[in-house]
Amino acid sequence: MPYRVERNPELCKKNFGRPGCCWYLCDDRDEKICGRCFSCFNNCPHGVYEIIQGDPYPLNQEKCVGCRICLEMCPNRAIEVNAIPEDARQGWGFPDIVEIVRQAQTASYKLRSTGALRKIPDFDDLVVIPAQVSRPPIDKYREPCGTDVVLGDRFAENPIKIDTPIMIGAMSFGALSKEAKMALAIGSSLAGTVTNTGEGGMLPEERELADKLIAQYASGRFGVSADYLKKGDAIEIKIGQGAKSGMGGHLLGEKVTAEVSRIRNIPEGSDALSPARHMDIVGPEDLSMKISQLREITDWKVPIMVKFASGKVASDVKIAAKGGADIIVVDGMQGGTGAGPEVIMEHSGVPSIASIVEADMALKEIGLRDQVSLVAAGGVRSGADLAKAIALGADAVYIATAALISIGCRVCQMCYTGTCRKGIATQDLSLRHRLDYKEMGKNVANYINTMTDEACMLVQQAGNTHITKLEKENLRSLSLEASALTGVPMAGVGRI
Amino acid sequence: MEIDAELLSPREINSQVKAAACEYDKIIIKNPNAKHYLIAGVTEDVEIELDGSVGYFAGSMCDKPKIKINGNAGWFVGDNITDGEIIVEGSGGDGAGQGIYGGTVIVKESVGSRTGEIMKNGTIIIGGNSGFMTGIFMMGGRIIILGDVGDDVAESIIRGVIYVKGEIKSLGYNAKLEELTFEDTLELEETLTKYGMDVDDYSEFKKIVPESTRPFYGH
Repeated sequence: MPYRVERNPELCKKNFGRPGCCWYLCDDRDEKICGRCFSCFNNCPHGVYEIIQGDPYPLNQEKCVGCRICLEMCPNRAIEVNAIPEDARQGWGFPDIVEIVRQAQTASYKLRSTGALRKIPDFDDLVVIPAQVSRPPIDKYREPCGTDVVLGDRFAENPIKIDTPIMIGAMSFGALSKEAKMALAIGSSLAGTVTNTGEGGMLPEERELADKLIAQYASGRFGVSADYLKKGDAIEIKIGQGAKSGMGGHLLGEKVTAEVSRIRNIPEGSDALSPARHMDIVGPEDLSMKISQLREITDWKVPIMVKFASGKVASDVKIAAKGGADIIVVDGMQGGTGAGPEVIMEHSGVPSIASIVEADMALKEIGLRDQVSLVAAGGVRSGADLAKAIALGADAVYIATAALISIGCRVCQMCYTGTCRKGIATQDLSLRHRLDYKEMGKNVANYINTMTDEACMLVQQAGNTHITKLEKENLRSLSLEASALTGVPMAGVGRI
Repeated sequence: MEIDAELLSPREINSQVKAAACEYDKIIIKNPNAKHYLIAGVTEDVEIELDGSVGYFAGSMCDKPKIKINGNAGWFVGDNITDGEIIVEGSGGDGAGQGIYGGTVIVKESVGSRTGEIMKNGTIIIGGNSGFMTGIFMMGGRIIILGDVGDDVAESIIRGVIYVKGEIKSLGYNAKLEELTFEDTLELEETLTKYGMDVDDYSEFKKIVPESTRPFYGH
């Protein structure tokens, strides 16, 4: 989707002459230079603006992704960003041409953050059908709706008990700033749920602020030790993630600051490799052994989770369940990342709604559905998405990109540059101070609580008293594609 | 303190070892019977001696203990240890010393493939031969091999060093041979002598290091 960026020169120059005029805190507050604002130029992550004769102009409009950070940070509301319709050349639209030219000039594939952005069947293709006479609705304003869930009580002595089935997914310290990790930890605690370390080790502040914290165990094993695992309330073996299934990684040394180095237990400024697969998990038996190994280290106390990118969902889920997993996470292709090739994000994986159903059916086929908890991830944004994910078969969901948006992210898709203007995906102190982690922590909790409340409304209008009671029969599909992917009947005639 | 593991499960053995490690300086485990995951996640400064062979992941993620295995070890002995010492008197399987951050893993005889993969620091000493892709994805530390090493040694290494006394079948991507220095020989002598594995001629060692510290991006 191309965007038109316009800067109104009259509005741009009004009201200068007062200090601290920026909506944001000034990075370098100096009244003498206040008149030379350049906030749009300085904060655009994509280089849309250029300075010509002392004024910023949005010259490189083809680079705009619509994040609107320039608009948000303009002290004088002088900027407008509007999506413009695709032109009528089908596959040869302007963005396609821009990308081909870029590839021709740079000989490099496109790297970006976030996940699949193109239209694929998702939760919006489904609706929850209301109860009427055949089954009466529950009164949202006067009758309770249960939202508490217990996950991972198959073998673990201490399963995860949370007040809402919305958990915060894995995002590492290193990819995120300490302030962002602290905000997520605070938010998870206030909302009575759990957050996740990601694969970058465990920040002491994160452990202190999060009532419940999942310790992720990924292929690079950064920051992993017995102490790390024992501090977790659950261990998540990351086999893959939806945004870049089957991809390894190479963290550049420039991002390994002193603090990141201490947490990841690698030298400051040194590169770090994450293999595409766990070197000791290359088959079903290996996964089973890994689960047992981690149980022995953690004395069988905490749940062992296995997270997959959604691919061969049924086979992978059966292997993990038979191998002894307490909780299985399926991350659909809408799942996000801090950095990955666009071609993988857009053209590899299975949509989240399809992977939930496939995973649920796989567990039922092997008779372990009641014992193994299923967590859905990838593109969950609202209470409606949560309700539909649970109706499709999940016991809980992960949110990640959505949680970042609640603390200021505007999905500019440039996390990997480490220059996040919101202080979220950066280690730069001058940017990190923009993030008020205490306030943002409250935002996270507000968002999760509101999502939970939204889901409850759908649960109750469907005639149920607990969020986990929603079932696939409570859903109807609005599109043939979603119906075919999930087995949910079409609305109206009800045919699949 | 002695534990007879004959009729115990790994969970029971580990539970007893962790409890005993808080009270005793030395624990002897009889009849380990090649069970898997033994001595997993022990973080006490204690001596542990296993009187027999062990299965997979022996000593995994330990920190501080000194473990002696009077037999052979299966795959991934000493996986991800952060400190301490593991000595295997016999041979080891694949992935010996995988992912260690510190401490020392010693296997007196030969091991399988991928020794020291993804290790970040610490020392691995192999008394015999080591198989293919030894030191794959190595990010620090050192591996010392007294015998021969298989194909693609140090594949995709970005930090650390591998010393090989015997034959090197082939080097992996981003690995190169570097001249052994006098300081290297002193370091080798000091390390090997400590474990009673000293050799006649330290100048016979070959030294393998990364070609580039950034082989994948921006090199």
